[in-house]
Amino acid sequence: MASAGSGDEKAAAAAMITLISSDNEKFEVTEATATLSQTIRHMIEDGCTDGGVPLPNVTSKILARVIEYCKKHATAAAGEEGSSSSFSDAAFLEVDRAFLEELEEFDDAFLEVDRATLFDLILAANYLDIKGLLNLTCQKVADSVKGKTPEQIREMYNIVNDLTPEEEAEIRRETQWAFE
Amino acid sequence: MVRRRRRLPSSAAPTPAALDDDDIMSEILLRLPPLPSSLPRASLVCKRWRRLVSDPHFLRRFREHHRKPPILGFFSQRVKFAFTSALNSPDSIPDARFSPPLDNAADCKITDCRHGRVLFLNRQMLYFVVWDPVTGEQRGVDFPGAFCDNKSIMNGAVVCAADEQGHVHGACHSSPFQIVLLGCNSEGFFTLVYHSSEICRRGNAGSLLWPQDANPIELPPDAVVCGPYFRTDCQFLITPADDGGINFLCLSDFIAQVWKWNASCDVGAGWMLGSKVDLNNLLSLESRVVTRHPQILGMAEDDNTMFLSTNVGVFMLHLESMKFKKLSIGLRHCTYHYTCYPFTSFYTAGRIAEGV
Repeated sequence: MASAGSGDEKAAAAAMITLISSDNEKFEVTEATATLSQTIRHMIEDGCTDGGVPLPNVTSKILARVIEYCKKHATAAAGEEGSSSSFSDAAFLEVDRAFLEELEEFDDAFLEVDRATLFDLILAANYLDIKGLLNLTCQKVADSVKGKTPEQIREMYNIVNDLTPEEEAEIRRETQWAFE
Repeated sequence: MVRRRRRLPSSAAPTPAALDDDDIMSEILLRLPPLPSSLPRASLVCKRWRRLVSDPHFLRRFREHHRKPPILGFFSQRVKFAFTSALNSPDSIPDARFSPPLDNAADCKITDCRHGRVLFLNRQMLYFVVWDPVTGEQRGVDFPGAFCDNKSIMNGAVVCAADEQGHVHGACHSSPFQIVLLGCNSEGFFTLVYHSSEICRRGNAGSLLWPQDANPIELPPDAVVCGPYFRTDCQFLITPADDGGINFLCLSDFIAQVWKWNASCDVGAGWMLGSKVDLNNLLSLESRVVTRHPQILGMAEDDNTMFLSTNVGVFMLHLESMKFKKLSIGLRHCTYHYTCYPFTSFYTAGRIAEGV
């Protein structure tokens, strides 16, 4: 019905938050999307989001990706709440499963970024305190290190070996088999 | 002063800023697989990574993140006590790393391995030894005087007794533990419960085996297919189920059946067949050159994983998913029937373990 619809829209419009990137670009997002970030959630609770939330550590390019992630996962969270309140039967479980699969596919596609973007996403997820995004991105980096030798890891991430020869020898002596 | 021992190529991408943040770096290292080579390799990258993965707070979070320790391998004592890795290089820990410094080693028989500790019984000298293979710490305890009949102790188990909230087994080195010994003498069955901080006390076997009611549970009728030869032709295991009930695993020839005891069934308590699988097909055994049937070697209860010896090698078989892995160990392990005691642990060696 038209009247009910416009009422919902008003409620939704009232719950919009403006995020401002470091390069001064403004992003309008719903409160449900924004509050996936614990940092922003606390700001909303403290009532200091009027006039927009400046995020001086996040560029518009990264913020756009972060919002894309939050939108998808906020919808997922809302979907979960909806299904848990209804009776659970096979059909609902099937829907849940399909939804989780879709979310997994989204996450996989989301991680298809270059290394610089991945690390910028980690910094943003850490600063904005978005647990799911931090987990996803840190896991991707951990996976890139998995099974690599210390030499390969240093080379990949341009890390200088500052261990003394004695320290190196000690680690190797204790766990010789781990380096074979 | 930072020692720069290797000049980096000028074309290399700069180190990402995120990696300079200790909190973020810890979040990444936390997500390395819980395998024995992960943290030693990370600690050899640079001083900072070494410091981060040696931090006791990090190690606790590492365990909490992964929840379940991996199965590193198994202990056995056929001719001599030995450790056999279930993992491939570089996670394959050599046997020499785990050698218990036992007095009278020949008389000490491995009886259990759980939550990272090994229990040995010495029935000749009437004591038991609890040994932590990772830290090397061991503790010997005499059987209590009243039960010093060397024939009376039949079996035993060692379990972690940590009661702090959120405790994750797999590095329980400093946690209290419990020993439960099952024995039999002229008065009947009994259990001895020993807490690492208590003295021994006497219980009774009924409370150990069937805590709710001391009634015996009949075996699933369909599982007993071998009639009078049941004991020789059929092997079985009783293990705790995830839901707090019990599972009965029966292996007869090549057919493995997992029965679940359902105490809350509408028509009364009873056995339900959980799964039935033909190991011949599942494991692609060489059925034409059968010299003998698969043998149950042991069970990692917390992982619901069984070790099986067959005519083509030793397998780890997960009983829920029926996923299996053939271990890359020699066939000499398959020629005799012996018991193996799976060892699960978040292995952190040397200096790292000292901080735990």
